[in-house]
Amino acid sequence: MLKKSMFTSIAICTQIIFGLCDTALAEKILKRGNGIEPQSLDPQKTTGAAEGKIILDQLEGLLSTAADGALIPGAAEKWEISEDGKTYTFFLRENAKWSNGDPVKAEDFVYAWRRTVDPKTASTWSYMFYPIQNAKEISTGEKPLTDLGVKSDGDYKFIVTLNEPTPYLLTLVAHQSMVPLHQKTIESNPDRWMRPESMVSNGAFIISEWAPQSYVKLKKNPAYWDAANVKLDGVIFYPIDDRQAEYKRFKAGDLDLTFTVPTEQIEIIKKDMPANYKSNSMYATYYYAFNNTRVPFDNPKIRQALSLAIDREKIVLQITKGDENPAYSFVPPAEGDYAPQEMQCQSDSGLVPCKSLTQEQRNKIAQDIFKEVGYNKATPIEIVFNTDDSNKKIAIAVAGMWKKVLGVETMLTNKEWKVYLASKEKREYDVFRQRWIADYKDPSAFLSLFRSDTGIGNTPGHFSPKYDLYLDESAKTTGKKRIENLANAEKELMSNFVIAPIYYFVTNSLVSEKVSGYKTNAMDHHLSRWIDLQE
Amino acid sequence: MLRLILNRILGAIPTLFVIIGISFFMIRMAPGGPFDQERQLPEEIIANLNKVYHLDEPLYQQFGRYLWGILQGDFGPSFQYKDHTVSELIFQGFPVSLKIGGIAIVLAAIIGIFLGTIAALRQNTRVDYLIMGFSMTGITIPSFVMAPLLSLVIGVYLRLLPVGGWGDLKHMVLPIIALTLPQIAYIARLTRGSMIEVLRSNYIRTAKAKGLPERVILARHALRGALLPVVSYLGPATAGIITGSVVIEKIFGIPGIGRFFVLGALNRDYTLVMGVVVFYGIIIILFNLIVDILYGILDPKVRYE
Repeated sequence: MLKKSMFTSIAICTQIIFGLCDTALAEKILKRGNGIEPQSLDPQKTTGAAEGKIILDQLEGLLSTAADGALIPGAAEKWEISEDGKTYTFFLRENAKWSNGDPVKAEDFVYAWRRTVDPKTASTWSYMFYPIQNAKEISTGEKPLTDLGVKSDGDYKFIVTLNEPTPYLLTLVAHQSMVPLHQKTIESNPDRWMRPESMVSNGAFIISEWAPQSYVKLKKNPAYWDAANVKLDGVIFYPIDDRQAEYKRFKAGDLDLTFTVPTEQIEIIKKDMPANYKSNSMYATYYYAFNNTRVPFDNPKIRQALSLAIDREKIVLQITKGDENPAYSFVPPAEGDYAPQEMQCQSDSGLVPCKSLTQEQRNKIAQDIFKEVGYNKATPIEIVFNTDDSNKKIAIAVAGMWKKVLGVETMLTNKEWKVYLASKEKREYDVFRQRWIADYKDPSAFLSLFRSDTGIGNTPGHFSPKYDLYLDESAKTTGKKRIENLANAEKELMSNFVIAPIYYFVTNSLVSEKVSGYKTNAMDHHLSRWIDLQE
Repeated sequence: MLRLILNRILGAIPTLFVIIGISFFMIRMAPGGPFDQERQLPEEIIANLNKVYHLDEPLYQQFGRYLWGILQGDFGPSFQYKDHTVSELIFQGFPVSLKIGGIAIVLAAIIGIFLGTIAALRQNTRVDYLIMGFSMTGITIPSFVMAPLLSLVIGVYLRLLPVGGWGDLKHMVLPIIALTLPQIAYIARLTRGSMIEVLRSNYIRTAKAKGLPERVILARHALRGALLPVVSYLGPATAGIITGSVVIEKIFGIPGIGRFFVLGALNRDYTLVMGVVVFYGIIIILFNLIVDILYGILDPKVRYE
C-alpha cells in the first residue's frame, strides 16, 4: 500500500517537474482563447460574447444551439405556441438535473427571468425581455415583479405570455440572459454564487476554478442530462485580449481554439495555416452612420452619393481580408424567409440593385448627384471612429475614395472607446463608424435600432414615422405579413441612405487539428459540449 | 529614526487624501461612463444601474461615501468586474506583480551593480565598451519590442518555455527576463557613472594612500558612495515594477495589477481606478521612505535625529 502510494507520488512529481500535468495526459481538456476577462459570470450582469461562451457552457436555457448554430431543444423537450402567437408553453425535460442533484423545474425559470427584469438586479439584458408581458413596466418600477408574463404550471410546464406575437422568441430563449438559475444558491450567497465553491449549474460543464485575468476552468458536469454525449472532461477559457499574444500561444500549442486572429497577420495565416483558419460569417454589419440631423447630411442625395463612392470590394479584399462580404443592406443575408433589402440605384433600365453595377458606374452616379445638388466641398466631412487598426485603415480608405471620386475633404478623428461612445451620444460628428452584432437571429434585431424612440442608440438620428409604423405593424403580425413589414422598413432605411453599410462582419478564429465538432455559424455559438479532442 | 518613520507616515495621510481627491474628480471628468457600450441601453436600465452603484447621487455625496468606505478598508465593488470587489482584485493581482517584479528588480540590482562596477574599474577598455554597449541597447529597446521577440524566439520557435499564461515557474522566466534587461542596463550605467566619480574622490585617494588593498577600498568605501544614486533610483523603480508593467502583463498574459489600472481607466471603472491609485500611492510613499532610511545607513553625511 505504502509502495503503491509512493509510486503514485513519484509519478505525480515527475509530471509536475516536466510540466505534464497541464497537458492532461488522460483527460480531454479544451483550451480556448476567450478575448477579455469576463465582467461577470452572473448571466444577468454580463454584456459580452466572452462571458456568453462560459455561461452557455454552464447553464442551459429552454432551447440550446447545435454545433452548426441551429436551435435545438435544451432544458425544454418540446413547446407549443398558441394560435395568436402570444403564449408559449415549454415542456421541461423531467430528467434534467442541477449539478447538486435537484431537478430543473419551471420555477427556476420563473425566478431567473423575474430576477433579470427586477430593477434591483439592474441587468443590462432586461430589454431583451421586453416582448414579455409587463417586462418593461417592471423594469421602470411601475409594476411589481410578480406581474411578469411568466408562470409555472406544475414542475415541468413553463408558460410565457407575450405582448405581441414574437416569432423570434425561440431564438431569444437560447440567449445567455434567459438561462434558469438555482434560487437557493443565489439567495444564500447573492454576490458570490457564481464562484467555484458555490456554483450550481444545469449545463454540460461547471466552474472549477477562476483566476481573474488568468483563466476560468470548467469541468464536466456529470449531472447534466446529456452528459453521456459530452466528450470533453473540461474546458479552460483564457482571457487574452492581445490578439498577437493569442496567436503566438496558439502557434506554441497552448491553445486549441482562439477567440479571434490578428488582422495584420491574416494573409500569412490563411496561407500558412489554411486547415486551422476558420471564418464565421456573423449576423452582424459594419457600417458608417451619417448624422442625419446635420446639414448637409440631412439630404438623402448627399448620403447616397457618399455611400456609393465607397468601394466596398476594395475594403474587404485589401483591408479587412478576413473573407468578409461587401454589404449593400443593413440586415445581413441569412437562411430563413427574410431577404435583405439592398440599396437601389437609378440606371438606364430603371431601379437596379447598386450591387449589380460596377464601382465605376456607382462612382458616376455619385458624381452626377453631387453636381445636381451642388455640394460645398470647402467644409471637410468629419469621420469619427474608436481606436482600432482596422477602423483606422477603413476610414483612411473611405476618405481617399471620397476625395478621388467626389473631391471632398475628410477629417479623421480617432477616439478612445468611451470617448467615442460619448461623442456618439451627442451626435458630435458627421459620420460614425458603427458595427452591429445582433443579439438574436431576426431582422428586427437590426431594424429596431433606427426607430424614432430608440433614443441615443439611434446614432444617425433617423426619425421616420413611416419606418416606425412598419416596425409596429411587424410586431403585431406574423408569417408573411410580418416579413413584408420588416422588408418595407429596411427598404425605407436603404432608399434614404440613412447609413452606408460597408461589409457583413465576420469573426475569424484558429482551430487546432486536434479539435473535432467545431462548425462555423452566424451567431458564433460554439458550445464546448459538441467539441472533441483527438491526440 | 523611529520619529522619522512616524513623521513620514503622518505626513502621508494628507498626501493620500489629495491623491484620492484629485483622482476621484479627474476620472469623473473623463467623457463616457462605466455603463456606456455600443449597444445603447434604454434609459430605465441605465437609471437602474446608476441607482445600484449610487451614481445617481450628487458627486460630493459619492465622494463622501467613497472616503467613508476607504476608512473602513473597503474600496467598493468593481463596476466592470461585477463579481469582484476592488480589494479582491488588487489582492489577487498584487502578489503576482510583486513576485515577478520583486525577482526582476533584485536580479537587476545585483547584475547591474556588478556590471557597472566592472565597467568603471576597466574604464575605456573593451570590457567597458562591451558592457556599456549592452546597456545602451537594453535602454533603447523598449519592452514592447523585447517581450514579443523573447516569446517568439524562445516560446514559438524553440518551444523552450511557454509564451504566455500564469501558473508555475516556467511561466515566470520570460516576463522576468523582459522586465530585468532594461533595468540591468539602467542600473549598470548609473553605477558606472557614480563609481567613476567616487573613485576619483579624495577619500578614496586617502584610502589608497593608506595602503588599503583595492578589494577593501572598493567594497567598504567606494561602493557605498557609488550606490547612493542607484538607491535613489531603485526606490521609485521598485515601486513601479512591483505594481506591474502593463505591457509585459498584456503580452505574457500575466494576471498582475498593472492591467487593472489601464483596463479600469479605459472602462471608466471608477472604483477600480481609484483603488489602484490609492494602492500605488501607498506603495510609492513606502518606497520613498525606505530610500530615505537606506540613505541614512549608506551615506555618513546623512544622519536623522
